[in-house]
Formats: sequence, C-alpha cells, structure tokens
Amino acid sequence: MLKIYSYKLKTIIVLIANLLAINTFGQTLKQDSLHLLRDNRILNTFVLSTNPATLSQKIYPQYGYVNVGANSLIGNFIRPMEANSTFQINVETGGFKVLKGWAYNVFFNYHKQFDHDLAWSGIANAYEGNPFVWADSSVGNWERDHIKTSINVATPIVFKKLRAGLTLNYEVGSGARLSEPKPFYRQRYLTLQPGVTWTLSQKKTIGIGGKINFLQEENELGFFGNSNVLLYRLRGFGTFSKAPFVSGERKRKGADLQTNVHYHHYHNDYELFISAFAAHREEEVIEGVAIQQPTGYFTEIKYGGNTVLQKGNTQNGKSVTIAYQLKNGYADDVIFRAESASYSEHILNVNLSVWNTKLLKKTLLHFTLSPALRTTDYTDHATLTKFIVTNLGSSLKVNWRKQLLPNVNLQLQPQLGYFHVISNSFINQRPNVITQSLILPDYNFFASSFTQFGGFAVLEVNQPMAGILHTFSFLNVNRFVVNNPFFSNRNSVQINYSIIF
Amino acid sequence: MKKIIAIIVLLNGVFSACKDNFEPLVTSTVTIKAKYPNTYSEEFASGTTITFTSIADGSVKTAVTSSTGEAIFKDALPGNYNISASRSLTESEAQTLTGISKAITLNGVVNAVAVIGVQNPTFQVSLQGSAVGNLLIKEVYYTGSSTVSGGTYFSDQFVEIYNNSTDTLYLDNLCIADINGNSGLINPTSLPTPFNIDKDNSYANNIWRIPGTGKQRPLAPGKSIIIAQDGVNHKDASLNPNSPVDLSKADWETFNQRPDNRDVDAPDVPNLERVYFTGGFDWLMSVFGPSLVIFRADFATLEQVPIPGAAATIAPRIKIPNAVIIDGVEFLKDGSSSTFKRLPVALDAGFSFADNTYNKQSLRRKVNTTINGRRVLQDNNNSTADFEKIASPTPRGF
Repeated sequence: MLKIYSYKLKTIIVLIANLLAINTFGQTLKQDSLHLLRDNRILNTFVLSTNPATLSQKIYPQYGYVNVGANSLIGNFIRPMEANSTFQINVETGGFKVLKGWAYNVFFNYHKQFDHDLAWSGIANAYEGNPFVWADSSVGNWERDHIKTSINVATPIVFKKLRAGLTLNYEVGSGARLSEPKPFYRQRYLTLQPGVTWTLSQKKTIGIGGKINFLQEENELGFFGNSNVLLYRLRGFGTFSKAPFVSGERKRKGADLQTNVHYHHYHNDYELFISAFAAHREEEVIEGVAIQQPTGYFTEIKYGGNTVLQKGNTQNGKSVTIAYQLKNGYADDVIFRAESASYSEHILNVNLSVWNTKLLKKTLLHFTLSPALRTTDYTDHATLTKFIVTNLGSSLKVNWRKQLLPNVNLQLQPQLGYFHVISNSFINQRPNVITQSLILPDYNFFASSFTQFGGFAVLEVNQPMAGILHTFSFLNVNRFVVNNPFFSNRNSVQINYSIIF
Repeated sequence: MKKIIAIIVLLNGVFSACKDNFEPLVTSTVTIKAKYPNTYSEEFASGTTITFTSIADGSVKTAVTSSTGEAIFKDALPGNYNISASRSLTESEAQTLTGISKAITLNGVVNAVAVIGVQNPTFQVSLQGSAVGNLLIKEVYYTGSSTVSGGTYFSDQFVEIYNNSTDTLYLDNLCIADINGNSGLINPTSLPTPFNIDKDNSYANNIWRIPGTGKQRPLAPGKSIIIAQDGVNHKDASLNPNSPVDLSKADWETFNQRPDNRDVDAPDVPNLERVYFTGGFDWLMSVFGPSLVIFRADFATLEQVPIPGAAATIAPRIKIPNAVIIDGVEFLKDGSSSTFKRLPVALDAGFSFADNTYNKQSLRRKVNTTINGRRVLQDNNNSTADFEKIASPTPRGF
C-alpha cells in the first residue's frame, strides 16, 4: 500500500511540475493547457507506453522544478510486514530541455522515511514479490534513506520516420531497524530502458521498447546487536526455516527484463492508443559471505496492456481506458529442490472520464469513474496453504478548478470509492507459526471490503514577472474497513510545495 | 495489431524457456525402526517413543513404535531431520531383555538424516543406556547476569552436584569436566565439535577434581555441593548487585592460579584441584551452554587427543570413556542447536537450553518424587526431559 501511495505522490509531483511548467514557459499564460495532462484530457504517450522515444514526439515546454513534500501514513489496515505508521520526506528537482531536437528529461530525488512499529520484516521490503525473506518476531522502528536519479533522452526524428530514446534510472538506498538485532540493508537498482518509435503515417505511430533492471540488495543482521535472534527465513507463503543467529549476511540479486509495444492513432475526432508489455524477473537469494549458500530462486512473469480511446477535445470530451495486468510468481526452494510457493494476480482497471470546461469563466468540471477488478491467489505447497480473494469496486473523482484571480488558481478534487470482496477462501492444512502470524493476517487484509474517500487540493500562485510559479498541494485519502474486525482504517496525508521556473 | 500479438506470444515463449523450474513438491513416508543393543534378547524395540524433528522449522512429530519396532511418519517434507528415541524399561522388562532386574532408560539419536521427496526412506535408531540413580548434576547456572551499567557478568556461574541415591556417597577424587565443542551457531562459521563421531568417549577441555583420600568428602542422600567459579558474594556492591547468587558459602571453587593473579582466590572457599586446563583466566563455562560430566578416573590413564583440524599449537583434549562417567548433562544455545551436541547419546540423549545469555536463567533437574523428605531427582539420561529452565538459580534449593 505504501508503494501505491508513493507512486501516486510521484505521479502527482511530476504532473504538477510538467503542467505548471508548460504554463510558465509559455510566452502567454495558458492556465487551461497547463492542466490538460494532469486531468488526462490529452494522451500522455510517454507515461502510457514507458517508451522514452515518445518524449520528442510532442512539443513539451522546457522547465525546471524543485519540490519538497511530506507524507504521513497511519492506521492498522496494513499487511503484517508493513509499518503501522510511516512518515516520509521527499526533496526532488528536475526539468525538461530540448536542444537541437534532442529531448532531455531528468530528475534527482532524495527520500527519507521513518517507519514505526514494523513487525517481522528484516529486509528492505517484504512485499516486492520474492518470498525468500528474513524475518524475526520483533517489532521495531526503521529509518531509510534513498536517492533516485533518472535521465531520459530522445533523439529528433531521423530518416523521416524513426525516433529513438533511452532512459537510465539509478536508485540506491539503505535502511536499518533501530532495535536489535538491528537488521540493515543496502539496495541498488540500475535500469536501462531503450525504445524506438516508427511513424507509419502522419497520424499513426508504432513503438517498441525494452527494459532491463539490475537489482541487488544486501542485508546484515546482528552485527551491531548484543542479543541473539531467532531468525525466520521465510521460503514461501508459510514455509520457513528458523535458526538462532548472532550475525548473518544475505544477498538478493537479479534482473528484470521487459519489452513493450504500442500503437498510436490520432484522428481529428478521436485518439486511440494500444500498448502491451511482457516482463520476466529472476532473482536469487544467497546467504553467507565466505561460504555463499543459495537459499531460493524467484521468478515472476508479467503480461499486460492498456487501451485508451478518447473522443472530443480538451474542452469537451470523454475517454475510456482499460488496463489489464497478469502477474505470476514462483518460488523454487533449494532445501526442497522443488517449487515451494506461487502466486498470481489479475488486475483489471477501467477509467471512464468525461469533462467540460467553460473557458471564459476559467472553470473545469471533470468526472472520472474508475471500476476495478482484482483477483489475488497465493499458494504454499509445503504447508498446504492457499487463499484466493477477488475484489470489485470503483472510485469516483470529481475534478473542479477555478481561476480565482488572474494569477491564482484553485483546484479541488474530492473522491469517493467502495471496494467489495466478492469471493474469498482460505485453506491451511499444515498450520504453523508463520501461517498464523503472517499469512492468515495477509489474507484478512486482502479479504477486507473498504470504503475510500478523500480529496486533493491545489493552490497555484503565479509570479509572471519573476517567471516562477508556486504550487501548494494537499492530498488526503482514507480507507475504512467495513467487514473485518481485525482492521479499522488507513489514512494518508501528503503535503507538497513546488517551485516551477 | 497482429504484429503486437505475435511479439507478445514470441516473448512468452522466450521467457518461459528462461525459467529453470524445480520438480513439483513431493512428500515422503518415513519409517523409523528402533533397535535394542546387540546384547539384548530382542532386536527391535516396541513401545519406543520416536521424535522426528525438522531441522529447518523445528516442527516436531512423535509416534510410538509398533510391535515390530517401527514408527511411521507420513507426509514428511524434503529436508533434514533429527531423530530421537526413548524407551524406559521396567524391572521386569529389563529382566526379560537383559537378565538383570534393574529399571533402565534407553535412548538413541540420529541427527541430520536427509529426506528426499522421491524416496520413502527407512532409518534405524540404536538404543543405548545406563542404569539410573547415583550422583547427579542437579543444577548448572551458566548464563550469567547483566551489570547495573548493562555490561555482562559471568563470574557467578556454579554447578551443583546432588546425591540421588539412598546411601551416603563419597566425593573424594570426583572429577568434573566441560566437554569440547561449540554450543550452537554462535556465528555463521560455528561448527559442531569434530569429536562428535565418537559415541563411546567424551573430550574434555578442562578437568577439576575434589581432593581426598577416599572417605574424606561424604555426601548424604538428598544433599548437594556447590562448585563455584568464584566463591564470593557476587551480590556485593563491588562486584555485581544484579547477580542472583551469593556463593561465599560454596563448597568448592575453581581457582585458577596464574602468574598475573587475574583469578583471585576466595579465602573462605576451598579450591578444587586443577587437573587439566586449557581455558583463560578462570573456568568459564560457555554462557551459550556447556556440556559437563562428572567422573572418576586416574588422569594419567586418560588419552590426550589433538582436536581434528586444529592448529598444532592448540592444546589436546582429554578423552574420557563413557564407562567412567557418572553423569553428563548437555546444554546448548537454543532449541535449534541439536547438531552441536557434544555428549554421546548413551550419556545424554537430549539437551536443554536457556532463553538467552546473561539473563540469570538457570537449568535445574526436575524432581521425580519425594520420599520421606528426600527429593529423588529425575534421571532419564536425557537433559531435554530431565531439566527445567528456571528464572533464577537456586543453589542448594528447589
């Protein structure tokens, strides 16, 4: 859930930065066009395709930005290896520049995170999919520091039809629990993401891209502690080994390969975008340094795609977005010499959007209905544990914006949603401490229907003489569980201040 | 669009080919046969309690052998397991099997047997044992305590020896020794003692002896003696007010005379004879869990054996035959340390453990029964069953 909030935060920051920069750097202030991307009233092919070559396909304004923000998460509607409360600080700077037809988009982000009451997990993130996890039954507070940089470059059109692009992402971070046995991690991600687009005709483009992500996580435990720890080495969704440790090392390394294709058709009356991707992730978990012992292998295969059909124009229009993703993960256990666990996830998201603007009055009214269907299936072969949960729900967002003063804009976006568990089952024929402490609570999390409401507010203040735009944004999302006495709620609050220049 | 679909299908094939799947998980049916010693009138032991413990997750299954001496465990997951067996013979059963009418407890252990999914293996565990009764190690306080400032304190360790018989026994020339080997996975490179392949002997790091000519050190039934690392009041403000024990009235202490005088002699407590010593400035039992034996033997007759694989500069250990050992106890670091056992199964089929180091916990032998005020302590030659973990030591008490 934390990742979802973080993703939303990042998306919002980038969109604000992009949109407001467009306005600022236009010779005339075009507040309405500033908000087109944020409102999804024009297709953002770069975001939809993840193909960096599309960066130079549209004429984006050149801009720079600095953003500082804070984020708080609190409430017990969490998975068992997530923190009860989290406080994050983000500082980010970046910008977009075009030089002789080459497009450059870069950013640098520093992220500080304080987690309180995080139980069991002794690694960076127990819910990245790989089930070979170090855990102990203690609850503790964590501190984390992460730095992420991204460079996106796209060429001008060559041979009248071809564009190429490359994204380079680098993220490095470390974190530690403050209480014994003081688990510690170092983490590094390096991503290369090339892509090309080919212009079929004046209104039709196809693209193909790829991604390779190298990841490495190193863990240490007990080196700065005074007590021994009974370490649980999770090897599935219920399978585990346990042993006392004074100190120990673990390493997770792997690669994530992905390819994607897209087709974009622009017509005077409508715009159609279709994309698909396939991804394959392999990871190996090793323990020890002098004598390295593989403990497990993890494989994940993902397929997905999205289709967007948009009709009308930026003043009055409507769009339908259908996105689907299938994810299958497998854990191959070295002790069993067999597959110990697997999971699959189907996610279908639909966005139905309609908008109307009254340009003269500088107002916008925009409705977005987002039904979603999600099925989650976890299986552990050794403990004979299996749970399946299907959740159906929808959220509704109403986006309202008004120009209060010539240089002041206000945006309000209330949202309301309900997500209902339409089917769920849990079987555990060989219960043990892990299935009872981690897997059953995880099932309860997924098998909880909840309401969601909140809102997003942005105040924009323009300083045209200085060429600076200030934005203050506030996002609040609340989830309330309606059918499960184990949980109550989860509340997220984000505050951001950005300067666009 | 067709091209897109074709590319996806192609990628699916490529990615699927990359996956190096293991075989599907298969469980096994494990048969364990309990076998009497060769000198017994029957070969296989019915009514034996078999414990089948997964080394990976510590899960335990138990079963009792059938009339053919077999216990069957179904749906065993692949992995390594420890097997232990215990069979208590009544006097009449012992009479039938051995011709000697004396109650006895037999034990057997097989460690780290591998179960592979495609097989249904059969393992055999051989029972061994010795007669009950005699001098016993009643309590071992080895964990130590923490100081007021949060430091560690281990000078308050002690061992208590108890007369569990109905007769007065003499302690003259009784030896006490700690057995070589790690107590568990102290660090990732910790290994079990290389001596553990010898089932007939134990290998001592240090040996101390109660002086005497034969009848100078009587011990009445139900009475005990305290052997202190340092025979002082450890609760004293100058030592460690957090310590749970005053050992100034101990019967003996292990004074390790050195040129640098690092071990101070407590004047009011007599010293044991230092027969053989390879330790540091004092007789420090491992705070992670020692293995101790009491025995009688002429030290000159005991063989000195180098530790296999150790440097030549490391002092040899003293080989003590099972036959001369009166009692032995095994304490390991925790419940997952079974592979680190140091004592032969015939002496001690199990082990016990404390929750942590420096937490004042003590390991004390359970009371089996009380006859006319005399406590008869439990002695199945199995520390797992015979000892209990108590929050604070109870020298000379219960």
